[in-house]
Amino acid sequence: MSILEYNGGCVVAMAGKNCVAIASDKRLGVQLSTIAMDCNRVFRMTDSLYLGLTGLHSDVTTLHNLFNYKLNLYAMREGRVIKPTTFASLVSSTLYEKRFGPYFAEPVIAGLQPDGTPFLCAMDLLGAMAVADDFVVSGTCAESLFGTCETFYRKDMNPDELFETLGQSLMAALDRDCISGWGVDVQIITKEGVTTKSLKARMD
Amino acid sequence: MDSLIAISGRDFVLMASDVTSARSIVVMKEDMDKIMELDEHKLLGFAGEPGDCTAFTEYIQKNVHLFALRSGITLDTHAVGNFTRNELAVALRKRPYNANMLLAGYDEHVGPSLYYLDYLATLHKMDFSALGYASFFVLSTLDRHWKKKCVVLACGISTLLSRFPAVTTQHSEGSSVIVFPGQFLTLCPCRSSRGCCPPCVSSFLVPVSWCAA
Repeated sequence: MSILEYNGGCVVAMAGKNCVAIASDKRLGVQLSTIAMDCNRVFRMTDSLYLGLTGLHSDVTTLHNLFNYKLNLYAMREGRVIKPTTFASLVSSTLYEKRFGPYFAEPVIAGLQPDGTPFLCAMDLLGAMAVADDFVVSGTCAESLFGTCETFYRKDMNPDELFETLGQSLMAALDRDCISGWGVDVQIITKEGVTTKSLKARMD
Repeated sequence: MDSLIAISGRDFVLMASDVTSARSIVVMKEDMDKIMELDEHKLLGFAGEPGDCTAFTEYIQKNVHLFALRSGITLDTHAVGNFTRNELAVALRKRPYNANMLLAGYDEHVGPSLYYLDYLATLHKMDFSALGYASFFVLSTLDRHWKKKCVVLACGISTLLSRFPAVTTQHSEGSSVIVFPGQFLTLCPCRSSRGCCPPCVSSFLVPVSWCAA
């Protein structure tokens, strides 16, 4: 079993019309035994930029702390809020710095660009960027998520439709993965603000 | 394999461990203390490679103490948890410690808290937790029986003892420690080095019906 699948968990992000949503499951496990059902793996970086991290939970925490630190320094040095594209490059280069002893975590970046258009990006553990304009997935049920997202995704959804589509896509995929699940958190990012919703999935 | 159980309630955290030190089929001793006192309101219980556990937990204990002496500030449980996690995470990619831990503490403005920390440096806040083989049974049992309304300390103890007869029987030799707002209470560590030793754990046994309220 890969170390990326040691703790389990998944993240998915999807774009709508001038809005973007990112969702994750809440399980934290040690292989097949569940340790906690309230684990958060989507983090707020700026008001309209979220970072989801799947993989080894230890490295998820390490990277979250590291990016918080780097963004605080960026804000102090530059005196402005970081753009999603710049942040994606920062994440990518931070991961590639550890090319031969990598962090075992795969990030998903979701945010709104200054002009209000969505930005989605996923990476592997070495920092290879994959920018998409529809949806990005990551985690132990990534294959299922690709299938469900491809089925349910439509262009230019409004925030409510986006929430419904993303929630259903994730929940359908979760049920086929025994090391993800135990509820879902969805963040819907619009220009007006961020809405967080918690979903009950199959709680087993 | 070590067994470590911890439960948090409204105003307490309770931690219990076995006291066996075994290697392969040989029991080395039966009075090993696996719960370390970090300061007056924090406990660090550990399970894993005995050498690593001792080295690492003592390192943490002394550094937490050093920080308090230097700055005059006592770190809260959250801070100690993150400090410990970071030390473990840095060590993980150099010379890893095979030490799993449960950190329990009581802070003035936060109340009781309990953290799970494994040898990979996974830190997570818990309502209850267990380490070792015990966790395979205890986690599912506590999933069902742990309640927020398990607010009374006695309730916590009774939950622990009534749900886990194994703990109760081990307890004749075992140690069990409770973090209170103001003090440690050591329950019947008959052979422990700790000073205070209330009569016996059996006198703390309360009917399970107390929890039903």
